[in-house]
Amino acid sequence: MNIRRLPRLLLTATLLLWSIGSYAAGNYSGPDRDENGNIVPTPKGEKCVEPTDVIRANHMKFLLHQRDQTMHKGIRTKQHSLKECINCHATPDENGKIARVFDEDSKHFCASCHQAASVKLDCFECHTDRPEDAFSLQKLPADHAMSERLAPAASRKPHVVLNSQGQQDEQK
Amino acid sequence: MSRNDVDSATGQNSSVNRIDQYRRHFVGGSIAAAAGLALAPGLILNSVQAKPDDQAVSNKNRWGLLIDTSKCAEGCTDCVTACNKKHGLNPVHGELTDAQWIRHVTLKNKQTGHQIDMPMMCQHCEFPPCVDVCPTGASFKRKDGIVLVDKHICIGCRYCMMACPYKARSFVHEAHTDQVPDAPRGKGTVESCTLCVDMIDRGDGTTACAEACTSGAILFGDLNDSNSEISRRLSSEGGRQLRAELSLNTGVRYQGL
Repeated sequence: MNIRRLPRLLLTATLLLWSIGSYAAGNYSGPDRDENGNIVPTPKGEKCVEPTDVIRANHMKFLLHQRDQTMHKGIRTKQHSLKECINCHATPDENGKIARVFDEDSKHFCASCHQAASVKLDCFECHTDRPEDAFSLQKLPADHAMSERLAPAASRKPHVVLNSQGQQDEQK
Repeated sequence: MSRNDVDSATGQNSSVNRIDQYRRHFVGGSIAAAAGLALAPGLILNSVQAKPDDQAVSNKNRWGLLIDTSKCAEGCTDCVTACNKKHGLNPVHGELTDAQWIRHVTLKNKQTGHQIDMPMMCQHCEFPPCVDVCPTGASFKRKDGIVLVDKHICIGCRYCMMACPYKARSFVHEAHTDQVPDAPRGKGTVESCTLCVDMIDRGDGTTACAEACTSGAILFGDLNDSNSEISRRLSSEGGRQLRAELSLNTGVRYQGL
């Protein structure tokens, strides 16, 4: 190989790698943001429990560690608890609705990012994707199902829930 | 203000005064220490203290229930309803496949017609057969005696359901989306009564079923604490284990059977 062609080759290789990298980075959008660049749905807290780059790269490790501590030792610190992530990030949108993880094209904080990154999300097959607030403020289907069991099938009425703005939502 | 300041302020002979002070200090300190020794064990044992969040559970406690079936009203399902509601156990197909953490059992003596209604749940054995048979280590006993399923590891083989002499465990057959924050549960895993482990860790000192029982038939407490109400009642009134011949040393005890 002619040694004089080496710089040109290196330059070509660098440009090629850079373009592939920037294409991948462009496709990775992170969580949904509004036109001002703020994360939607708006998180409740002021800032995350870890710096953004740390939590983005390591949230799964934090959660995995915390999971075993809580399950087997009863250690329930809040910093890396999935429940607290959800309490902060799963907030109602402008219509008072809380996005659900398994919705199509979900706007749920966890789901929006995982869909973009094409990483399967298993947590919410067991854990709830709704914050604790939702259970204390609204009458959720969890209660509905119980009343259904107690009431005879014939007398079942459409379940009415109030969203956070006090309007009535009808569910099946 | 230190002792030396007091001496100079009162203007007394400081060396005698200082000896007095030391004596008083020593005697006072010993009395306080003796009082502390006498009181401390009682104080520690008597209160159900909230465990700090970052502290692991220990075998200092052994949580359990005492159920007086003579107080169970006929057909009452308050504890079952409260448990289902707290843990978001919603009916899907009916009793054959739905999860039941507490079963409402009716025993009838055919000869005399005498009938007993009672709640049946995980008995939180000291030597749990479900833990012995679990191939993955998902079924385990916490240090404070609560028997749980780690659903992250559970593969849904259901050996534990076969091994349990109390039929206390259920399999989740359906995918769920309406779980509650403190009771994660999902398709393909086995589950059972957790003795409201989240409430215990918070230091609530009760369980959903004990709280809901208006007749006071269910008492929650620490079996390791000889001063707790559950231990005092067990020692004065007695209480039996179900299938005691299996020597599992259950954490749930019954009266009135």
